[in-house]
Parts: sequence; structure tokens; C-alpha cells
Amino acid sequence: MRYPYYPGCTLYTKAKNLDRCARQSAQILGFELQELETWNCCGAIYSTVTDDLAAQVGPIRNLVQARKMGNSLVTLCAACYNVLLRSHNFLFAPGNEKTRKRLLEFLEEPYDENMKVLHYLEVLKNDIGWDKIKVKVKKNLKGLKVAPYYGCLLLRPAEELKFDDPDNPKVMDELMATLGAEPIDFPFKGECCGGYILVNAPDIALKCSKTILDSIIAAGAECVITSCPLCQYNIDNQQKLIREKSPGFKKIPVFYFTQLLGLALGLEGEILALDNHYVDPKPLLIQKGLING
Amino acid sequence: MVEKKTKNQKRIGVFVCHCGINIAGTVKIDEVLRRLKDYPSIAVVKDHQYCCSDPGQNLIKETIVKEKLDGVVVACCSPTLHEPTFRKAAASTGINPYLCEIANIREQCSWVTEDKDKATEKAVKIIKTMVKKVQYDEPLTPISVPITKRAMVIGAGVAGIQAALDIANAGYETILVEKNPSIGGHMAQLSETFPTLDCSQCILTPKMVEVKQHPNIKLFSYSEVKGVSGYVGNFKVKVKKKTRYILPTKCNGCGDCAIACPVSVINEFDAGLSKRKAVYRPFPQAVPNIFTIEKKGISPCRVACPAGVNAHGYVALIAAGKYQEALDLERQANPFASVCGRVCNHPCESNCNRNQVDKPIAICSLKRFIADYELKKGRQLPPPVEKVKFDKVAIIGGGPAGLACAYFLAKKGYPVTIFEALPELGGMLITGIPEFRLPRPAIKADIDYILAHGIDVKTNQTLGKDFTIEDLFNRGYKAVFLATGASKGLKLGVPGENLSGVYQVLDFLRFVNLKTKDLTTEVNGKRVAVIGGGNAAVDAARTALRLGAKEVSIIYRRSRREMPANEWEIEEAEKEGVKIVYLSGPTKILGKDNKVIGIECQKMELGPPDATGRRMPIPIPKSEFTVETDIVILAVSQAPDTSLFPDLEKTRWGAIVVNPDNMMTSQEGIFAGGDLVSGPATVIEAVAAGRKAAEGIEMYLEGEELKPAEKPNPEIAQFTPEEYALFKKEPRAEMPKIPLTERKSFKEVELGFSEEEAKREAQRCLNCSVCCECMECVKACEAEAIDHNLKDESEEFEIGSLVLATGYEVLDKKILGPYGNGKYPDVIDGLQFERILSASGPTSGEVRRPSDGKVPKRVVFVQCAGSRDPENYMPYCSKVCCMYTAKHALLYKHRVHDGEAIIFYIDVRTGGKGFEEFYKRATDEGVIYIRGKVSKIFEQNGKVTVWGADTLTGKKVELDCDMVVLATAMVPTPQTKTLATILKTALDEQGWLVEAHPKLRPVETMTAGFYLAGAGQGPKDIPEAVAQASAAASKVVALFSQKELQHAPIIAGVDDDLCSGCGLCVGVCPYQARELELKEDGKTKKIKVVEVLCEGCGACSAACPSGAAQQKNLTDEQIQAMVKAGLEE
Repeated sequence: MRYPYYPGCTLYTKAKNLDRCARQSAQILGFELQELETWNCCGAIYSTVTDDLAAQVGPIRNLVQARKMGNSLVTLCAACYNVLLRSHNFLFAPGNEKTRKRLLEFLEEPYDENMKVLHYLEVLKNDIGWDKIKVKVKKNLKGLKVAPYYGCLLLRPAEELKFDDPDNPKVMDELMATLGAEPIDFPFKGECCGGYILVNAPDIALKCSKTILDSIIAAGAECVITSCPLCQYNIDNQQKLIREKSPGFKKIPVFYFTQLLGLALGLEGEILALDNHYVDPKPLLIQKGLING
Repeated sequence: MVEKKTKNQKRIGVFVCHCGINIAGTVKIDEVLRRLKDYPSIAVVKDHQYCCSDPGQNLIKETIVKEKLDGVVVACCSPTLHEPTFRKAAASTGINPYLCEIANIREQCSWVTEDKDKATEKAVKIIKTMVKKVQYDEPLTPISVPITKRAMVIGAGVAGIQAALDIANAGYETILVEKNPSIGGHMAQLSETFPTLDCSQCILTPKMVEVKQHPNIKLFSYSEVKGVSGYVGNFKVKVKKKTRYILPTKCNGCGDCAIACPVSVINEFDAGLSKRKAVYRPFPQAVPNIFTIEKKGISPCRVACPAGVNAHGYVALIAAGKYQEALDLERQANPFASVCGRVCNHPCESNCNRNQVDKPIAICSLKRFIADYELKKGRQLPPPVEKVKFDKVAIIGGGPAGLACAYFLAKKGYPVTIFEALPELGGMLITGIPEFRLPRPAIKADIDYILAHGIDVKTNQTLGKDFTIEDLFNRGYKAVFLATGASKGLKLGVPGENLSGVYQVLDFLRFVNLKTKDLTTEVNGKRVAVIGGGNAAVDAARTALRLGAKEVSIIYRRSRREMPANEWEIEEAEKEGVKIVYLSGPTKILGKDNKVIGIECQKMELGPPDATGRRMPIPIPKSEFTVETDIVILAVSQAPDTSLFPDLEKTRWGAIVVNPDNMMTSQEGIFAGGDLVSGPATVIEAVAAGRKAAEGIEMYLEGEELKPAEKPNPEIAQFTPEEYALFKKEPRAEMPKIPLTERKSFKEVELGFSEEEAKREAQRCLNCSVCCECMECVKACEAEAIDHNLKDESEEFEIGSLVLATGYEVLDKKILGPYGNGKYPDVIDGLQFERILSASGPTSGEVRRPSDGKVPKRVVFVQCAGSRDPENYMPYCSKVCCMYTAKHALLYKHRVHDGEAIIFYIDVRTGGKGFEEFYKRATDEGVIYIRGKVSKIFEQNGKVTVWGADTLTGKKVELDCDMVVLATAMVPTPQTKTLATILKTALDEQGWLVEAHPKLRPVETMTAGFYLAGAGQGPKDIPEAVAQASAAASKVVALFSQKELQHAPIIAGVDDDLCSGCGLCVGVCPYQARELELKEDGKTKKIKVVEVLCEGCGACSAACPSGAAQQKNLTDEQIQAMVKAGLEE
């Protein structure tokens, strides 16, 4: 199986580990992520202004590129997934026929409704299947207590994304259980990490991150996974500030889900990019016997 | 008889009503009168301001008489309003009421336009068409229908109870049907009722008792309506009476059965806050006051057992600490508790539903526990069974099949003798299974138990050498059971099998197990290779290790997945150091000086599946390799030695053929079973065969007709994925084992569970089928009221009218995602809080939270949880929540004096007598009301946190509390939908029963004779439900007060001359009013009309190709004339 793949900007820079582990894991699981020949910014935030068509051009251009290669597009970054999927929905929403015509005429490229914007997790769950992943596990993550943190962009608006139950999401929990780890339930799986508000109101963002982290730690997790580079950044890096303000705070490593997937499937060394974290995850993995010291 | 006038002779009067300005404001009455004056057949045209008024009706009556009219057209409002009025008026003058017709010039004429000319034009045309209709109308007489003056009320909550009592008190027989074991509905669960704080049960139970004692009420509880036919006054209703497995006439409600019952399940009456037994009574005041056994099919573990052992039963009894009872139950189907508790391949566990949650119950090890426990406590063997039969039975072979057969026959009182070739009994148990898995005392324990039943044993008796089958018959045995097993080792068919150092696995095991040959020196320090993948191979490998082998390997031609040995045995073998070489097949055993030095093997790959379903190994050319070894043990397969039975029919592969129904061989009186018939199989399969043979022998000896083996198709108990998700994961008890360092001796590896471990493990059982049929209740019931063989029954009732009182449920909080999907124990619904407040509830009325039993000091109440939320849940207001939440908060404050009650609300709706005052009382007593919705509820660190908004201050609210009570929406019961389908009555979008008219006919349905009562029609409180019930009852009584019912004569008949008997109309008739019957000639068919069933819809008239189906006073000819009149210029 081969899927057109849209990495997005962060996956080429700060979130290399999210991207590389995903591509390598895909190979082990028997599918390929084929990067779009040309792509641009996804738009980062879905524009809810209905007549702001310029904001839609970017994401739709990516979709058009993908359509040339197939009828699906896989992404990893929760934000990219959110924007691309909603832009596609916008094009084909009832009543938007004229807008669609204008946009596609502007892009001078054909595009149709037969396109599915998929998150990598959806490919794992629906196309590959947990059973098949289970037999490929080389390093069982048994004994590792993982808090799957979904954030907002992967889940909401739920009726549009239809990704998972926004109040009780399960897909990453199921993936972790498949890999042998113990998924830890906590009540803030889908709450906001603080997002971009970090830039202009860092105190509020800090409070968001701390609420989530406190809950995760209280629930007994040893590490966190996420699929969103922004969540990863906030939840991981904010621990520095949290430590400054509350010295008793015990740090907890924050992975991308693809890192643990890769680890379980037998990836090693550089590819896992375990140095690319604020809170060093290596001691935990050494303690669990998952990597060598 | 009225003289029939032809259409042109009729004198018709037209009366035009002004209806105030409703008609006259738009239709020019004068012009209408003028234009109609000279229309054919119209004798007179008059108008009146309100024709329906007394003077208006008098005008019509007087004119009919004075002008000698034959027919009347009243041009006025819709016929649904005043057709009966004017027909009655016309009839009072002596003309046939069906010659009075309404021309509706209001709804679709005067009301829909402001153009006076157009309205007038249309009014004239409408009236003309109706004049034409009357010209063709024939005088008709209503059809009389008798009434069955017996009512049925479906649902026995407070509304159903009230309706039934009212109808019964009026003197009519009433059948009350309730799906639950007791009547009372939700009201029986409530604590106190608002606004008077009357105790709910105290006011309800007297009514329940009245129902029970009322001579006119027949109560069918634990019953469901399954079908309805007929029409008003004459319905036939089929009721399914679910069996309680308890005879109501004998049960005295003492409750001994529930004490004896080992199965605990969720108690629905306590809204899931407590447990009840599988045999139960919902609450002590239940009516009828009898117990019910709940069964949901058969648990999968029982179905999976070849010997039919009731695994669920003994697991449940262990959970309840009844170990001896558990063992007794196990032994009813299998006397080898101690043996099977150790070496059974336990298909029960593979089929255990707990697999869907986490891991199966350790059923096998639990069996071992009860067997060991009995020995540890010191047991007394049962006394011999009295020999009440005289026909002697000989059993040849003292293995598990022979012993089981002897056991079941001895229990029946037959004189049984076992002939065994070896010096002791046990067969493969003692020769084939090593002691570290199955110690001798464990085998002896079971054999002693079996023999205690009174069985003769003759050891050292070999068939063919010491005696023959013929001898046995000559010595007076009437039947012989052959159970000589399968002990002939099969050869591989490769060179070198006769070298010294090559053993057949059963020989090897027998030498060691029976200590008949000491192999220690031969094996110690040597390399051993076992060829094969079954349990015997693994046993031999582990035995070799214990004899001191330096290196032990198993060579198997397929992969691990296909290996037939028990997975858990393979794991132990590997732990102990056995190496397994997969996908390798031996091609040659290599020797030097006649001694084994190695095996030449070939690599294999797996091909397509063979007959056993396992993938076939296919050799890879030129992949030979050598395994160096000193000893080779061949464990390929075994076959029965049937050379002693030359006369018996055999299968192609040499096993004895038996009739599967009774295990008899091709020769009369000779039966066979066990490995001799099946080939190498498991202990439990041998037991199953022995038992079946015992039954077959009994049938044979008693001269009973051979019953074919029952092939029951049991309904295997299962859960839905949602239900599985609700079960909490609990680790399976680990079997304690001796450390690997001690595995050099033949000491038993598994140590068995402690009592505590066994009990806890047994309590993991999901009780799939609820009742486990352990029969403890039967033993406990002194009244002999319990019969597990009872079946559901059906009964049909003839009734005249039906009241639907199907009630409500509370919305399942599992669908309320933001409020935790029901996963937090301290986030409960209103009904659960009622139970907590109730004196008869799980906490005896003390307010304690479910998670840890603490008294909650701050409780948050959330109104509209699922109500008034069209985007996500229910759009409607559930009506009772504002008041019951105020009541909850108030009662909570009364019980917990320092407690804090906080209510989130959208609006407080207090429409009702004394309601606003009650709400005021709540606020006065310190209940805090916050106006706003709750966005999220979660539980962490023992606290429940509520996130919400206070819309009056515009602030976000975050509250920590000890418990949350959700006022979840009222929703229709799931049975309402089923019932509505059966009754063909309408439901609204949300599934509530629909009334005929929201204002004027609130307790009637669109089907004549069906009435509505209570919350099945929509959310309502108790007084409203009761009032509606009395209203419905009065409708029923009004119906029954008539002598007979009148059925409108506007029905479709059939013209026999035109009818071709095609039957098209039969299919289109929605009322089953048309039937095909044979004509007098006995060949051709014609239509018969059941007039009382015809509703005059006209479907048949439209379908009839020959025009034979004509509706009275709406014939084709008539309609054509009316259309023509309407189109006239």
C-alpha cells in the first residue's frame, strides 16, 4: 500500500522524530508514505471566516497535489490533519458550489470529492489493524505506563472530523495496548494544551499545560504520547517553567506516538531521535529495558 | 323500508352556513344562493349565520319536513367537526343520516383566499359536487359489532395500576400485563415524592396489594405482549408468560432459595448500586410476592465441555465458599475432579466469555482446588450404591473411559466388573502421564471415589489371554464395554528405527511412570531427541530432563501454532530447558555400532491446510541437516490395537465403529468407547464417552427404544461489546509452581490455589447465563416450588380495549460523554440517588457515596442532563427533574446537616400545585442554585470536579465535590418501540406514544380502543400519570357501557358478478377485511368482505381491475358525476 503523504513544516524541523519514526514504522508494517512532490504550508489554523478564500487556497493546493497521486492523503501533525480535512469538507459543503468553482479555477487544477484526508492513526487502526501490528512487535512495551494525550485538533469539531469520541478518545490507547504498554486514563485527554496562546499569554498556556501534566502524573503515568507538535512542545518544554514555579514538580517525558511505535517495532538509535526532547526520555526507557544505557 | 328514489327524483335541500365571518367574510353568500337556486335536484337553498347552533339546526329540520326533502347538503366547515351534528339533526326528521353530506367551504375555500369572487366561485362548485353525491347516495345502516367487555392494561407502574383498578372497580374484568417480576414500576424505587414528601412506597404498596386482591383483575407479571389482532371491542392479544422456574402456587416467598444461590449479579431495582442473586425478588413488598430465577441461555464453558460438566455451576459455588457442593456438582458429570483439575485441556477456558475482557477464569485449577480441599479436610467416601439392577456389565479396560462408564452404571445400581490387564487401574493416567504433572495420589483419590460406589475389579486380566468376550457372556454378563485404549505406537517409516536407543514414547513413559525399567543410567548425561508435537512428546521431553539428560530437544515438522500439545505445557517445557526445533522432519535415524548417534532431518515449509485444518508441512529439497543425539523417542501418534476384535466393524484407520447414539458396536450387547473408538484423545473426552456408553448400556438393558443422541442447540450466553467494556479488568490468579531449580525430581510442578486465591478467582466469573443451574435452590426450597425444566407459556386473550402504560427509563448516563460516560462511580443518576435516599435502598437511607461509602459533604446536582439539548441528546424538557432535584437537595440537607447542596440549572420550572412553594423551601433551607450548564465532570484523587458556567455573573465555575447527581432525561422504555410495532400505533420522533389530539383527545390513540396512560406518552410526574390513567380508564368504561358498537357503513363491498377472484384486493387491504373463498362450484374463487373490519379506506377499489370492489356512497359512477359537476362552467 502506498499513501500520498503530507509532512507539514514542523515535521521537517522540530518534529523530525514524529516524521521519521512514522515513515520507518510504515515500512515495517507494509505500507509506504509517499511524500507529495510539492507542498506548502497547510495554513496552520483553519479559517472560520467564510469569505476569506485566500486562507483556503493553501490547504486546497496541497489536496490538489495529493489527488494527482491517489485518493487519500495521510498526515501526522494534528493541526495539518485538522486544517486539510476541514478545507476539503468546506469545498464540498452544500451551498459552496460557487466558491468551489472559484477556488479550483484560481488553482487551475482539477479536484473532486473522492479524496480522504486520513490521520496516520486511522491508517494504523482501519487499514492495517491492531492484530497485524501486534504480530510485528519486536520489543514489547510491557510495563510502560503511557498517558495518551490527544489535544484538541485531532478530536474537534467531532462531527466534522469523525476521528474519535471527543470525550472519551480511544485510538492511541488501543495502539499503546497493542504494543504491550499500559494506557493510562486521565480526564484531560482532549483538553487544550495552551496552543499558540503561549505567544501572547504565557501564563494561561502554562496553566493549561500544568493542569494536564498534574493529572497525568497523578494518574500514575510514566510518560506521555501526543500526535501534535504544538502539544508536544507545550507539554514537554513548559515543564521547565513549571519546575521553576513549583520546585516539587516531577518531570515526565513526552513522546510522539510514532516514537513508541517505532521502538516497539524494533527501530533503534538515531531514527528515534531521543535527544530531541526537553525532558530526557532515555532514563525511563533504559529503566524499562527498552533501550541500552 | 324507505322507498328508494332514483337520483333525479331526489329533492335536495342546501343550507349555507356563514360561520360568522369565517365563511361569509369571503364567500358572497347571496350570490351562492342565487346561483344554486335552479340547479337540478335542489329543492331549496337557505342560509344561516351559524347552522350548527340550535336555531340553525332547527331551520334545517323544519325545512326537511316542510319541503319533504330526501337529501341534505350543509355547506359549512370540515366534516370532521360537524358531520355527526348535521347527520343527527337530519336523522331526527326521519331521513337516512347518510343522505346528509357536508360541503366544506371553509378550510380549503374561504380561509385560504381573500379574493371574494374566486372564493364564491369555488364554494358554488364544491356545493354542486356534493349535491351530485347526494343524488347518488344510498340510505345506509350502521353495522353493529358486539363488544368483549374485558380490558387489558399493559405496564403495571403507578399509571397502569391506577387504570386497572378504575376499570376493575367499574365492574369489568381487567388483565394487567407487566414485563418485570413485580408490579410497581419506577414509583416503587423512589424515596419520597414532591412536593408533599410522602413516602413513595407507603402510598404505592396499598394499591399494589389491591391489584393482587381485586377479583376483577388478572395479573400477568413477568409477561410480555407478543401479538395483537382484531378491532375495537374485539381484540385478540397474545401474551408470553416468561417462566420464573418457580411455581407461583407453591412459592411462599420465604427467600431460602436466594440464600442458597451462589450467583450474584447487578441489582436493577437498586439501579445498579447493589447485587442480587440469580433467584430474586426485586424488593420485599413485591407483588406477586414470589421469587424468579433469571436465565440467559447457557454459559459457554458448559457448552464447551465434552462431558457436559457444569463449570459455571461449580465456579459459582466456589465463589460462594461452598466447596463440597461445588465438588458434588462437578462429580455429577465427571468423577475425575482431581485428575481433570490437573491435566484437562479445558476447552471451557478457551470458550470463557471473560476472554473478551481480560483472561479466562482458571476453571481447571479451580476444579483441582475443590478436589484437593476435600482431601485436605479429610473425606468420607460415599457408601456403595445398592444394587437394584440384576443385569451384570463387564468393562474391559480400567482407564478413564472404563472407570467413568463403571461409575455411571454403578450409580444407577448395576453390578459392574472392571477387567484390567495391568496390576492396577488408571490406564493411560498412570502409564502415560508423568508424576510431575499428575501425581499418583491424585489419581488414586478419584479411583477410590469411583470404586466406593460398589464396583468389582479384576486386575491382571488380559483380554485374549485370560478371558474372551464370549466367556463373559457365558458367565452371565449382559453387556460388555470395551475401553482398551490406543497404545500401539506408530512408526515413522524411516531407516534406523530399530537401532538401540530408539523408544516409542508410550514405552518410554510407561517404564518411568510404572518404574518397570530404570532408564536413569541410560538417559543421564545424554542427549535426547523427541520426535512429535503432542502432549506425550512434551511429557517425554520433560521426563528425560528429570532423568538427567544433558540436552533435550523436540523435533516437530510444523510451527508452534500447529503444535497439538497444550500451550501451557510447552511453555513450562521451554522454561525447564527443552529446545524445540520447528519445521523439521526426520528422514533417517543415524547409527553406529547399532547405537543411535543422530537424526538426519529435512527443513519444512507450510503448505495449504490439510483435513485437520492445520497447514501441511512440505519438505524443502536439499535442506537436510543432522541433529546429534544419543536417544530418540518417537512420539508421532498412537493407534488402537484392535486385533482382539476381529468380528467388530472398524474404520479405515483401524478404530472400532460405534453407533454414536448409544456407543454400541456392530455386535449387539458389545459397546466401546474412549481412545479405542476416537483414537488418542483427552481424559475429558474419555469420560464423556464412558458416560454416553453407560447411558447406552442402560437403554439397551432396560429394553428402551434407542433415543437418538440429543443434539441440543443451546442459546450460548453472550454479552454485547458495550457490556464487555463495562467489566473491570481483574488479573487472573497465577498458579503457584515449584521453582525451576526443583524440577530435577518428579515432584508435582503446580502447587494449587489457596482457598483465598480460589475464591477470588471464582469471583471473577461473569455469570454469563445468570443462573448457573447448580440446583442449590432446589435443595433449599422446602415448598418444592422450584422446577428448572419449566418453559415459557403463551396465552391468548379476547379483550375489548387496551390501555398502554409502558412508562419511561432514565437516559443511560453512559452516553453522556462530557459527564464521564458513566465511568465515575460517584457520578450517579437521579434514580440511583432515589435508591440511596430510600430506607429500603443499598445504604438503608443513609447518604453514602458508591465509591467508598463516605458521607458526601458537598453534592452537585446537574439538571437537564440530556434534556433540552437538541444538538446532542433530547430536545424536550423532562418535566420532573426541576422538582425532584429540589427534593433531592432538600432531603440531602435533611440527612447530612453540614452538607452543601449545589444545583446547576437552565431554568427552574415549577408549574404545578405546591411546586413553586416547594422550590422556595429548598432555597430557604440553603440549597444553592447556579444558573448555567455543566461542561465537564471528572473524578481524580477521590474528588469529583465539576466545570461549569454561572451565566448570571458570566463567570466560569470550577467546583470540587464528593458526589454528582445527574438529573438524566426521561426516555421511553425500549419495550415501547417493540410494542408500538406490534400494536401498529404511532410513536413520535423521540419514541413516545402519540395521542390522537394533543389538546382534545390526550388519552386516546389513532386506533379506536387503544388508550394511553402515564409516562409512555411523554415525561410526566406521578399525579399527572395517575390522572391520565383514570381518564383512560373512564374511556374504557364509556366504551364498555354501550350494548354494542356501531361501525360506519361506508365500506367497500364486492359485486359478485364482476369479481374475477383475482385476489389483488386481499393484498392491499390493510385491515385484513377481504378474504378469498371458493364459490359454490368449488372451483373458482370470489371475494368475501368481513364488513366489521373494513375501515373504508378505498385501497381495494383503487386496486380492483374489474370495478367489482365499490365503496358504498363513493362508487366510481358517483365520483365521476361529482368531478363533472365540479368542472361545469
